[in-house]
Amino acid sequence: MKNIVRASLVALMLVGAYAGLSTPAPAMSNPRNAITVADGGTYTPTSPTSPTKPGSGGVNN
Amino acid sequence: MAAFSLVYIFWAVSLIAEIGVCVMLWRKHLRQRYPIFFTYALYQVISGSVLAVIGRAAGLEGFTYFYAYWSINAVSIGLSFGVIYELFRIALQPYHALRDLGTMLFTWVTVMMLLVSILLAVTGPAPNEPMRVVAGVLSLERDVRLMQCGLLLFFLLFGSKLGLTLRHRTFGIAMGFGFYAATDLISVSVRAHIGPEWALTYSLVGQFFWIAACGTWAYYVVRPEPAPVMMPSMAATRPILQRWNEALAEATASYSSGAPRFDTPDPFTSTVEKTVERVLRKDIHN
Repeated sequence: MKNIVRASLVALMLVGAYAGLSTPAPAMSNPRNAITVADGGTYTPTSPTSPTKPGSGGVNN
Repeated sequence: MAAFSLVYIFWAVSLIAEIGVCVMLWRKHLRQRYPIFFTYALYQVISGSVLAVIGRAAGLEGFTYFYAYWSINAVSIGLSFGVIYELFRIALQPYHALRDLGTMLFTWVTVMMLLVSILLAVTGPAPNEPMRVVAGVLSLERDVRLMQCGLLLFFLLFGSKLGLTLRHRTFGIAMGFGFYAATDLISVSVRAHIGPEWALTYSLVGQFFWIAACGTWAYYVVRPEPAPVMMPSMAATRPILQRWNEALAEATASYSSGAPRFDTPDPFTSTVEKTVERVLRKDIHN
């Protein structure tokens, strides 16, 4: 069982590293196509669409 | 709108999980052993709360949230890098010379990563300032994610030589980071192929794996840790890490002593060559 966990983790790390290395660097291409999520599971803003006004409130307003 | 509600639900769950990890680290007096990891976990709680307030007050699509998010993310990446260094140092605690070499390499890697990210942000084809900020932070983030995968891979392959098993806490913390980093890199790659239309789903997937990483940390912090194990392979022959440690210690001692060392045009190369030779020689004798 332990060996299965180890092998799975090794495979996952190798796939992850391959995915990271094979994807073009964000600044090399359009950064909107390679956006990511911050630690902490917060919503990732891809680009600001409009300046916000104080107290405009609410999600996606 | 329903998907955004799910974002908030996942947000709340991840916040609870992060608070749980912080409380357990505090109660088990592990913040002295893992100070950077504790700071990192605490920072996630505070930054998550701040972003929730900003997102609620100013909206998730505005400039305020955008800049707050990417500034907080940049600090978080720095702390992630610090945690990698901390786990590396703890794992190599018995091998002081290797640890010192690791510290030197980490310093140089940090400087190089920062330089590359700044260069990419400044010279990249980003159309405006916000995109340049994102490009720089993303470049840095990808480097750190790759290093997190590398650290877990290192523990998986050489853990037995370090006396670390899957049941050890240091291994568990690295596992949480490695698991999240690998899934994040895969998600980024998938998203790069699918396109920005998938952004919300992608955020939700990332949040899910983050909660899983927090769960892993909580599990390893709560459960009692076994003592470092002595593998049969470690007792039979001197492990390679020990040989490297001894060779590096000898090299450092001779280099810092008053012994003449300018016998070749390049003393650094000469020292490295001699060290490698010494390790290989000991390998043959053992």
